[in-house]
Amino acid sequence: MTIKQFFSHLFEKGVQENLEQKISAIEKREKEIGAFISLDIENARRRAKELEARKKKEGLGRLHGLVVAIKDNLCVQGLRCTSASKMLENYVAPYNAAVVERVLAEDGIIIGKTNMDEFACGSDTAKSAIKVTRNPIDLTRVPGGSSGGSAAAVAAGFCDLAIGSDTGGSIRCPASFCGVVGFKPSYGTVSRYGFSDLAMSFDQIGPFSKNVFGAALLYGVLAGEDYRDSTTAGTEGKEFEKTILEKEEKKLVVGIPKEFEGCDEKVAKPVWLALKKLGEFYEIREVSMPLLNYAIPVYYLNTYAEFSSAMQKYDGLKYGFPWEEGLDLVEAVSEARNASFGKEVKRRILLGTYITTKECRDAWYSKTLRARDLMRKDFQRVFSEVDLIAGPTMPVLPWKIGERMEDPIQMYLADIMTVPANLAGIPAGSVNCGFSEKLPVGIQFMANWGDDEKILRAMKKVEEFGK
Amino acid sequence: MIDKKTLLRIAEIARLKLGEQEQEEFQRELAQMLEFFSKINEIEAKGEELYYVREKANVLRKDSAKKSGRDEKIRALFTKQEDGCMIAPKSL
Repeated sequence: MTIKQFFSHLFEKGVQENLEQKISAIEKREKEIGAFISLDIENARRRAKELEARKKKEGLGRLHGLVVAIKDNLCVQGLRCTSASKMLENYVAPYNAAVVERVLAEDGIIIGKTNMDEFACGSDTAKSAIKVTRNPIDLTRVPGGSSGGSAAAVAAGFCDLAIGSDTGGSIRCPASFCGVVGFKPSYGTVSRYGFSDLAMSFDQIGPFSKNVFGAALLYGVLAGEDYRDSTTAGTEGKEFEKTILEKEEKKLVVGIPKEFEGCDEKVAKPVWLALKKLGEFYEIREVSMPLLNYAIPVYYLNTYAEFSSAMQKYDGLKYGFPWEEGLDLVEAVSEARNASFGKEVKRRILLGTYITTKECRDAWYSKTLRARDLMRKDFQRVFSEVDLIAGPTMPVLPWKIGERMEDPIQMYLADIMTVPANLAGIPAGSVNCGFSEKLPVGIQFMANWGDDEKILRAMKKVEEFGK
Repeated sequence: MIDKKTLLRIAEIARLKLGEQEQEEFQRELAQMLEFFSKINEIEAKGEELYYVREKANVLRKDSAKKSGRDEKIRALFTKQEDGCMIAPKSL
């Protein structure tokens, strides 16, 4: 299989015609879906023309003119970069994020910036301060989040590929809800230069695509060392879309944690069915990871602390929400911040500040850091026995727009399957494995740090027998 | 678990000027959330190490100045400005 088979429209019709197909899909459905915060059609057309001309002369880079959408917490020079917050509503990026540089260097075309939960705080994109995004499969439902706009754009055919960020499931959740492929790479393999961080030790940037091939291709383009993000030191991007097609050296072993049993039956059914089929190729066995029961509290407490610190840079002075005349520095900054941040953002800042105060640090923050290290070690223990861990990506089907908004704990519980991978810094991906009540269901695979290819391979298997 | 005095103190550290209604809501909500999160006390973690992102040596680079060429673009973003300088509220 080659890129020509997976993106046949591009190769049959050419770069410009492929872009026009996306633009016409946007004209038809963007109004009802609302995937984008900014569109950049004019520049995209100019670039497609330029690439088409260059293709004939010297050929194109690895993305061959594919159309890419970018989450609105990544800088694209000259476009607004809002993180879906009022605080950054008028912020125009003065430079390109590292991943954007890489997309452009490999001849991708950027079509626009996608909607998300404010500063990526959410799992349904309903916490965007800019607009509502609807699930293209069922417009009454959420697309998942926080990278909901990116997943919806891919599902609706507004682009070939999209980029999102994943701190606790923000790529995998919307991929599952919109029925597309989403991949969160190993921590530290994709540069976050030019990215508006949520929690530094969790955040990872990754690809969306309708097929595993596209996700592997884009991941290979994005990955690799960048001196501006020291966590990437010593890593390199490969042509994963090719390496995952090579013959497997041994039969992989897939572990299913028994702690994953508590899911909604509607979600569980297609997932167990997929795992049964996968059993024809891989060895499947049950594993036990009791610490998974603590994943939600450990994840949220850790990220609150990092988030409250990351948000200090937004003071309304250098850029952002205007401060009022006549107030002193502290008052002006405090008013601008309070007026421009949404409720979930404030909730997280307050809790993060609280647990890192001198009086609370030992009981809360240090404790969660120790618990996190225990969880990482627990994953290492399990990965000495199995190659992959599998289960549902989300414990429930996509909910209706407006639901799960009031009670934060209920909201957080939806992340139970996805946060463990970020706690341990390991790679994880979601691929569609069927439908329940006409809504897509995703299966998730996790692997040890650096074993990203094993996940891509397993997702490809599921994709193949789903056809 | 969080009284009003504590809430106002952390809001001040976090530079958030909460409204009256918000104060009530957050006081109630944060208490509920901390109660839920206190589940971590069941984990036996005494003597365990604090998590660190990656077990890797420090990554160093040359400490050299470079022109970014972006000065104008960055200045254009200042909320208030005069003669190319950012204006901030009085601090004393």
